[in-house]
Amino acid sequence: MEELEKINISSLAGKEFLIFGGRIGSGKTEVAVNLAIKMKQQKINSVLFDMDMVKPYVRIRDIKKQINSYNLSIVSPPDITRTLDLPIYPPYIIGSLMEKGAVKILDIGGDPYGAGSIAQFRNIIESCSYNFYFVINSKRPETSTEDEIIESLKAVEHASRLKVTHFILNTNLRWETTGKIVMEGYDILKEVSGKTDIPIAFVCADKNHEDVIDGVPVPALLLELFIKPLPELSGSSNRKSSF
Amino acid sequence: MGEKVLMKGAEAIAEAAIRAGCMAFFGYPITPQNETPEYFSRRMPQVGRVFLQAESEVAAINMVYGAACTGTRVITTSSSPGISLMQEGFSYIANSNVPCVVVNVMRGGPGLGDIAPAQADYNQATKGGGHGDYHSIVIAPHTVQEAADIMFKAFELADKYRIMVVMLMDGLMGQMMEPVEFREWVDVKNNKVPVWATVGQGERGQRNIITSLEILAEGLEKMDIALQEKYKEIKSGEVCCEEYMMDDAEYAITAFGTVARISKTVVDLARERGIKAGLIRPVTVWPFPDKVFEKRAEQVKFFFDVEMNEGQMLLDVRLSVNGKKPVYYYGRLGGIVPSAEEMLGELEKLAGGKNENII
Repeated sequence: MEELEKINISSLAGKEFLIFGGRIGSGKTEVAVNLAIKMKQQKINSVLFDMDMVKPYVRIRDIKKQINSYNLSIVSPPDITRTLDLPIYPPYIIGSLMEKGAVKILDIGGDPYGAGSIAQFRNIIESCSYNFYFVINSKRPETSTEDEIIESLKAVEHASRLKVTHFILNTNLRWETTGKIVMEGYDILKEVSGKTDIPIAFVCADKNHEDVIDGVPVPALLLELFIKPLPELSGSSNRKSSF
Repeated sequence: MGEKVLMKGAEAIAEAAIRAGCMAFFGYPITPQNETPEYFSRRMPQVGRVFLQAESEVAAINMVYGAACTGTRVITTSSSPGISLMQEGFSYIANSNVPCVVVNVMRGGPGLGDIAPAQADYNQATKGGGHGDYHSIVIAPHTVQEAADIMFKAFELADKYRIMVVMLMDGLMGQMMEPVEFREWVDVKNNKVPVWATVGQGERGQRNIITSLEILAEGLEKMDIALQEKYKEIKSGEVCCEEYMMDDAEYAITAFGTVARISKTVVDLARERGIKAGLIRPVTVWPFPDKVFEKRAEQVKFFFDVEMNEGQMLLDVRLSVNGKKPVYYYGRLGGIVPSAEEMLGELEKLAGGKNENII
């Protein structure tokens, strides 16, 4: 296998805001958390913002224990709201967003619903430099074709009042991901990239299965996966068909 | 089978219902199952079917009742507090003998509780919930794929027995993403209106009447007996249970849904440590697979029931085991999901002959 070209983390730090949006379940949180960890490891000053107001579970605030050892700076809603249906930002969030000197990594909620909740901070974000990454898993509903991706992209841009600057290819079927599946995802996204003039910044893969992105001609971000609410099952015990 | 996609349980049950020929969704939003109505709201208009957000759960279940009276495949989805509001409708649907599918994505309770996953509506789902001597078929899937497969079966059973079928899931099953592939679409163009449906007299020469009302006690008793006969038929023909590593098991874990899913890992971990554990997983929790427990009571040293409630299925397990072997229980409440490691720890202590935490 060829040596993967890894993304240059320090080059990402040239922007004040790195925003991660996309369809619900596209992998935004895993990407944002992993980038924050890599920046921490490279001693780049960064703050991770949990701004997901859509999902009831598997947000950054739900995996704090798992990522505790990395000592990340995290801004997230009060813990008391974790198992309540209260989509609220912490009162100090504007101050934190306006703080200078740190790269601010924003994990926003999925779909236009999630993206819409950051439109209120548009003035702060637009007065600084930002990259808005649109995370795509072409094995998820509503982003499996070029047309669906473009429609989804427009809806998220419209809701957030911000322009997407890059795509991130995160096509996967969890433990059933293969190189063929990722390459099919790349082929679809490459066409979308051509039509929209939005470049593909990088491709993601589970760090234990990096072979699945072998040959994909964009830099790689290898992910340590934190969001695993239930243990995985092998193929045979996953299905009960005798009923 | 089609191409595999990555879906949340909440999305997969909606897509499966649509492919199974569900023509109408009525419901009211509640966390943690909002992805399901949201999915229906986009997909149903695409395929020319009905999505309607009702003004409340009470309205939604009565719309389901109405649609079911026409023999239309119809569904509603909700979570624990919303399901509580629907109980009167469930009881009317039962005594009216009309088919429908209801999904309960359970959350922590009682009362408003929280939005974390729980299994504390087992009694409500399997023992009635609403008033009167009635049952619904209650199915508890443990993976996204199984939930998608079972949705087709749920509509078939509902039509076959003219009964409400409940898919008993929890928030975690709804939110977790797994690879899933769907069965072929049911061709709704060939659907025939059932002879009992209230869709106009047509050429039958007489009206169909669907009602849960019977003023005379003797008449109502006949209706009740007919219901019980139907339940007997379902009990004899539609029980479904999965046994995992039970052939040589000395200890049987019993669990449903999410906990059963974790239990498979516990069985694997226990066997690595030389403890011969297996899992009995009721797929239908009503009708309950009591024969499986009767049979395994001859084989195992004890049963170890684990649930995300205070021991609700435990009572059915104890009734089925009928005192032949000890039945121990371990559970977490309020929306806490037990980990494989903590369950293994309890099992190890029991197998070693002592566990002070277990009742």
